[in-house]
Amino acid sequence: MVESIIFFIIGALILLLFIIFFTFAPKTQKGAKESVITFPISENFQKEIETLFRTEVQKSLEGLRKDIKQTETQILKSYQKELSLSVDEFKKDQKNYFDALKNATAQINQVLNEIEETTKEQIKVLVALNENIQEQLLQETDSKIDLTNKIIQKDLGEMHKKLLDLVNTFSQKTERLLQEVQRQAQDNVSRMPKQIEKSLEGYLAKARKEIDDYKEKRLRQLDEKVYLVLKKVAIAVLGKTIDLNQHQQIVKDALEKAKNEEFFN
Amino acid sequence: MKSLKERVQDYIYTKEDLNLFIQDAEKISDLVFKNPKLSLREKIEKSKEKISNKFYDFFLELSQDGYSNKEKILKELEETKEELLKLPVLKIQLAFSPSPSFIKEISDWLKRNLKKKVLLDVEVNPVIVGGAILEYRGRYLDLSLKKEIEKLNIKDFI
Repeated sequence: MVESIIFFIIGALILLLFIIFFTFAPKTQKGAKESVITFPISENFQKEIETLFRTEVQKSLEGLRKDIKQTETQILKSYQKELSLSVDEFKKDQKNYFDALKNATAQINQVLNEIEETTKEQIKVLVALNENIQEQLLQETDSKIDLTNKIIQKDLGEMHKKLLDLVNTFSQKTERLLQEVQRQAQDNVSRMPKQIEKSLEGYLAKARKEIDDYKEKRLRQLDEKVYLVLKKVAIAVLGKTIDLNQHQQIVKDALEKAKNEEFFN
Repeated sequence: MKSLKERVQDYIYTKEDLNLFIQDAEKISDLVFKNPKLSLREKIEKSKEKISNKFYDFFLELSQDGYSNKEKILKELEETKEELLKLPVLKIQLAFSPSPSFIKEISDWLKRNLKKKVLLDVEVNPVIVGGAILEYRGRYLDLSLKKEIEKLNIKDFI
């Protein structure tokens, strides 16, 4: 519809252009065969045509606008319809989905409950079985312990006898050894004072000698120190008591001595 | 007339004297060519503060006696300096500070006994108590009182 209106307008325009062209086209003087009928248009007519054309075009444009608007609203409505439909469908689907989910969870819970009950029953069975096994084990171990106790008691008895024999022989031997040791100790004790006396005498003599040596050494050291101090004192005192003339004389004597010793040769 | 070298030896006894002389000789050498309008004597008198007291009179005497020729003065000073530097040196340690007269006495004794001029290098060292410690031409001799005391056996005196 819209397209047809547009084509109509374009066709009218082209027609108008042809009219104007042929009206104002220059006359050709070449050849008598080309004869054109021209209609000079007055200004008023031209103006009327222009206003008519304008009004027509405006009308058609307005019609066109209306049509466009109409089609727009129609399209929008159709889209809205479709969208609402799809939303409704989505809601329906969601509801269905949640319903299905609820059902599934209910089923799962049911299954879990069933599993729980069965496992409880199995556990009861296992506990009972365990108790039986324990009882049996206890009975068996008791019997085995009795048996081993008897064997141990028998072995212990034999070992006890052997130990007693060992102890007897050991005690006899130790008694004999002790007697021997006692006898020897008595002999040593009688001999000891003399030996101690001898060794003590030796130590004493050695200690006395060491003390004497140390005393002598220390006295010598002391003497050396005293002599050193005395020398220093002598040097200090002499240095202060010699007068200038004595100094000069000593120097002259030293030079003479050096000459005699051929120091300057 | 004695030569410059002979005359100066009457003033020099120790190494210190020698060093002082060398310093003064260099100052005199500088003065010789300065202020040509003045005589050497006048120049020396003007530079009295720069020259040591010991050699001032010596150089003044020098300027009077026939040493007016500048080149001759310089040459003789240089030769004298070289000769003095060759003199042997006796290093002597003393326990006291010797007077100039005693130093002269030792110097004269050395000249008499060794037949030559010997310079003294004196060092004061009270530790030696008395006497002297001598060093001469690489040889060493301790004739101090300190050594004598140390040799003594104090036990003999106690």
